Amino acid sequence: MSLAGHDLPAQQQSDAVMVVDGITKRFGGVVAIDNATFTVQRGAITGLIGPNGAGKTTMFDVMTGQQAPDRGRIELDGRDVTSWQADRRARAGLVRTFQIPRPFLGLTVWENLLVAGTDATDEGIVTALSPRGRHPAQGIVDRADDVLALLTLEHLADDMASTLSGGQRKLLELGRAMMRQPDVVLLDEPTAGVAPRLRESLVDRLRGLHEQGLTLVVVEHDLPFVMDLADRLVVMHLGAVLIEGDPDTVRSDQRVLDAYLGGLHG
Amino acid sequence: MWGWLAFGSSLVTLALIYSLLAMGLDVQYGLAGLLDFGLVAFFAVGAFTSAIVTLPPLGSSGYEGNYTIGFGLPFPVGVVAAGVMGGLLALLVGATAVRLRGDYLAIATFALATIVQITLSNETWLTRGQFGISVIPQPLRTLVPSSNGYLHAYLVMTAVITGAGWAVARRLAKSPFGRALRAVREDEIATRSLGKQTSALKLKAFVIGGIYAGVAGSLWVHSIGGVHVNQFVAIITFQVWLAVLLGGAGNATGVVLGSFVLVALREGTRFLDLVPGASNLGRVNPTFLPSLRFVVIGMLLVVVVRVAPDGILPERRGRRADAGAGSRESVAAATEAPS
Repeated sequence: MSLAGHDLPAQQQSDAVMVVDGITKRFGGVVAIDNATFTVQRGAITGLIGPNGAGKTTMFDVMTGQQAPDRGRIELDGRDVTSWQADRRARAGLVRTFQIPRPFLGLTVWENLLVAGTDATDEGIVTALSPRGRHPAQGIVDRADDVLALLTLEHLADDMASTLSGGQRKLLELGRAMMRQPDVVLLDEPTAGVAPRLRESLVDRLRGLHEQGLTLVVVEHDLPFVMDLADRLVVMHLGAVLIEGDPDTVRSDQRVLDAYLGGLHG
Repeated sequence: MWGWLAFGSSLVTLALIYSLLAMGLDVQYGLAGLLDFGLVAFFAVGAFTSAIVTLPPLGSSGYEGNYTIGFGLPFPVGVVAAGVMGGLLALLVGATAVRLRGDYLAIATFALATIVQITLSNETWLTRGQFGISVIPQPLRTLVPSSNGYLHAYLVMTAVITGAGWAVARRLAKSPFGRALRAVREDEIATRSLGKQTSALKLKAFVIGGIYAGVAGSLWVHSIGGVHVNQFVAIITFQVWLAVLLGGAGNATGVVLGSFVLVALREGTRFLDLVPGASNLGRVNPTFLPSLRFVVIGMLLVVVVRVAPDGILPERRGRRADAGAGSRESVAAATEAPS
């Protein structure tokens, strides 16, 4: 893995499933991401935190291929994916959820999951007109059933996604991501708008997924939540990476306190 | 009596041809959310293609049509060629246009329809321009000598082809392909983030719409026996839009129903003068009834859209039970787990 110009420890490099290497993204005169570099460790929960406007969601957009960076490289599983479109990165095992959930509102919950679980090869016109096009593959149906049960959305399976609450939409998005059987999931504020009772179960689900070996990257404003959940934290401030490390290190870092408390603490 | 029956037959044929157009637009808009405001272009290309393919070679003895080129091929070849040309035009335009955001695509396709109409009008070596092509061969005409009988026979043939189109459209809508198109319609960014090549999906839907409209053009041109560029005006596109919205976007059966309602409204309002008193108004002002006709159509459409915004037959939901899901033991076990 080449990380020319950056001095990441060898151990980190070998375990990295994703490498963000010197990414810069500008919108006109505004620098949303400023030469940001960090790694996402395989099988870990990485929290991406920072005050509002730090560039976290833009970073997600760049990592998933929704936005092209002005400079820098993104590596996924040792491959340079910087020029890959979002769909290709998703097929390579990288999926995301959105800060404001984007379920397919005109589809049922069930259909949302099936769409996500079906591979592009089964979405051709020939398949549509062949007997195989009549019913979804049993494997996908079973997976969708499991996801529904895991997220306790079974009773809503036939409801239109447009009728779901904000929290339920978040869960559905997570379910959709799980249907892809991904290697890495980027979660943009997974608990925002989720009712407290649901939030606890969501945390349990995320831990469960993590135990199954899934790599998670979580953008979150709820600091206690993310400190508790994450193995590693990447702190962003004004587009730059301030510090990268385990929660205890980050918690006690003066620069992080300054970034969050601004002038009050300086 | 026989005359009325023949009139009815030709109206049903027309409704079936509109149904094909509506099903084509439904794959584009109802499933994929593509705003195609130029559907009539594919219809026109299909009509001219089928006419030219089936007309006998120029100078054939005993044939008195007005045209410039003919290939003398059988009618089925004309239908297929019309579908292919409609699809090819859609492929050519769609390859770049489907990447456009919704309203830009609407403008681009509207412009396409105008360009196609002007091209057909100017390429007189092919289409005879403003003079049009007349006496287009009627398939199987020799088998059914009576002209009323032929109308019925043509209706049956149109029904068979439209029926096949309906079966295909339904299968597409219910398939993984249709589901992916509906996902694109709902949120293209989210669909792409799940690994789908959304531009390719949209292009396929656009081409399917072009094929349907091309075939509809073929059936139409042989049913009326002549073709002229001025027949392919934008209002045809928007009438098909009305049929789709009336019937229920995303539901093939619905849009067929919408097409029949549209044709019934359009033709039924011709008989407004039968309403007591209306003929007196018509006597005072000769343009009154023809104008009133469009007012009545417009009002009925407003009422339907107001009362049933999803159309007469809304899109079908994909239900979990349809997939035979929810019966496994693991699911039962999982749902018992406390949450």
